[in-house]
Amino acid sequence: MFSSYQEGLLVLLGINVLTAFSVYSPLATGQLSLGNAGFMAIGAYISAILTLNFGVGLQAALILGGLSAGVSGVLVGFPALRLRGVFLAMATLAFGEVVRTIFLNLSYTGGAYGLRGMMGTTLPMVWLWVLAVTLFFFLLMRSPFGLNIHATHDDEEVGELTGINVTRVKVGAFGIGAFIAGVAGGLYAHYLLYIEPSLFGFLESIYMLLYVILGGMTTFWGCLVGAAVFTLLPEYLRFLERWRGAFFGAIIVLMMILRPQGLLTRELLRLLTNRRGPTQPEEVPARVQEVGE
Amino acid sequence: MTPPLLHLQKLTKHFGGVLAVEALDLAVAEGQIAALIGPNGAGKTTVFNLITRVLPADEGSVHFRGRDLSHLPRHRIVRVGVGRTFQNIRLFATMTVLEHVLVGQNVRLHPGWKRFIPVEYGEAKRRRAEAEELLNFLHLWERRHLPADTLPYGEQRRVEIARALATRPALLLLDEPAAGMNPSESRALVKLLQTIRDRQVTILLIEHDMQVVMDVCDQVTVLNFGEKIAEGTPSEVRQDPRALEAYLGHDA
Ligand SMILES: Nc1ncnc2c1ncn2[C@@H]1O[C@H](COP(=O)(O)OP(=O)(O)OP(=O)(O)O)[C@@H](O)[C@H]1O
Ligand SMILES: [Mg+2]
Repeated sequence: MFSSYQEGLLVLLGINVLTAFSVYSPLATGQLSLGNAGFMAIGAYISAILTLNFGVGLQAALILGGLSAGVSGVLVGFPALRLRGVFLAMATLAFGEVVRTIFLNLSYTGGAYGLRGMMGTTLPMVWLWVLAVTLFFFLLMRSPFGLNIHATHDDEEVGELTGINVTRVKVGAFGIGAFIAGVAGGLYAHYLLYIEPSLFGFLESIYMLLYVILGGMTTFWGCLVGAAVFTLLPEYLRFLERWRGAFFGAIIVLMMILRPQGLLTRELLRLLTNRRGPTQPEEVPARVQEVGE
Repeated sequence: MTPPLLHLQKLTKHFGGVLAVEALDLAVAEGQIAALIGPNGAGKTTVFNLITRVLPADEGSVHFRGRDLSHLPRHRIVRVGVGRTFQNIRLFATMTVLEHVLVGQNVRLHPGWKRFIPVEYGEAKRRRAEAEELLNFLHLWERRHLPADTLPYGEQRRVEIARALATRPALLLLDEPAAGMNPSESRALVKLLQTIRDRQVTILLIEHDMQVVMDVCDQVTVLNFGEKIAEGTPSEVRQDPRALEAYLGHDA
């Protein structure tokens, strides 16, 4: 159906969508994580070791790799509660680099050479995971827990005084994001046929964040849009050759000026899905202004 | 005698050299509308922050239904039955009016997997009926799909009240609900407070609008520089020389 070039591109796109979701999850609670390449590495290495050395099936290995990353995410999530904004970004970035350095120095995982010979990731498999994760967020963000995520993002203190256990929401969102990054790492490892620490540098984490910001960080649909634009656009810009990077940078700067909220926003989706549209203040009779009269 | 619903004893808070609340004793009986008044900087908002554990108290205790609140984590305050609003309106910036109510309702969900079911399913019917009733009560139903922070000021205040009431509090703390309202709006507020009380919600409010206080309150406590200087019914407080001197003089 697809040429192998197209197929490769779509596999990468699916993996990028997953990594975007992994950043979206903590970001939806207001936590900026720049360490998700670290969680991705954990998922990649654990799943690779499981399939290579222990003969575990690929799906089971992906889930176990995801769980390992998720547990690390929860462990990182607790100290992260004390940090905000740039400080949290720096700390998570450092975490990612620590993970990479550990794999670089571990002889069991092949050091700088990494691991080779994993295989089995197919296009349908990647997109089934994308579908599952999208469905998960579709349901989650409409659930009471999802509402609590939005509220935590908007005002933590007021959220707590409305009864939200903010610790649980934030650590949970961090763990969920790390799990998804871990699964994406496992799929990536078994698609590339090899992994090495240099694949999981902090630039990868930055890209994941860019997908989310570009797509729109107020709704999970932004992850799909952002990853799609970011993965496919460079392919169509090949004719620009060496200027591709500059052109791409210019697009990002333009986006930040023209539409800093990202391509998709919750308001936009509300307009598109609410057939009657939101009630405008003008439509309400003036006497409503006076309570109880 | 039944114990008071809310009972503050020797509640004290310093900010550096500033004594914001000094050994405050205060009791609010169930079913009352009580007011906390005093000049700017008297420590009124600080009292709310101490009750809801936004700030830790230096000394003293807060008892609610006989239970000591001093060691509860913040998110449990509303679960035991204390809801509040804020002097500077604090709404969830990305959420609609209806979503504010739904978040408030979340408190009463039982822990477990049910909190992961989309709000359209599961307990949706009951939640929606309750939200509709509450938003109609506050004249916000037509606004339910609008982002709350795009509403006019008076309506934003009511969204805050709706969010707090959605948690089904036994005690509602209102920080200057009439601020920025014109006389007809404050008259409407007085009626609203009475109907809230009729729903078995006890109210403690901070208010500068003396008309509102005199019209609706059963009990008034006057603070000045963190210290309680007078207490009683509105008419008693109106005649209290210390209260008049500190605060009421120009107003009553
Ligand atoms: N978080 C804080 N940190 C430091 N000082 C504070 C803090 N909160 C309040 N204060 C100080 O404590 C005193 C009491 O403030 P508070 O806000 O409780 O007064 P208030 O009675 O609510 O006044 P207003 O009528 O202006 O709202 C003031 O001097 C204020 O500057
Ligand atoms: Mg105040």
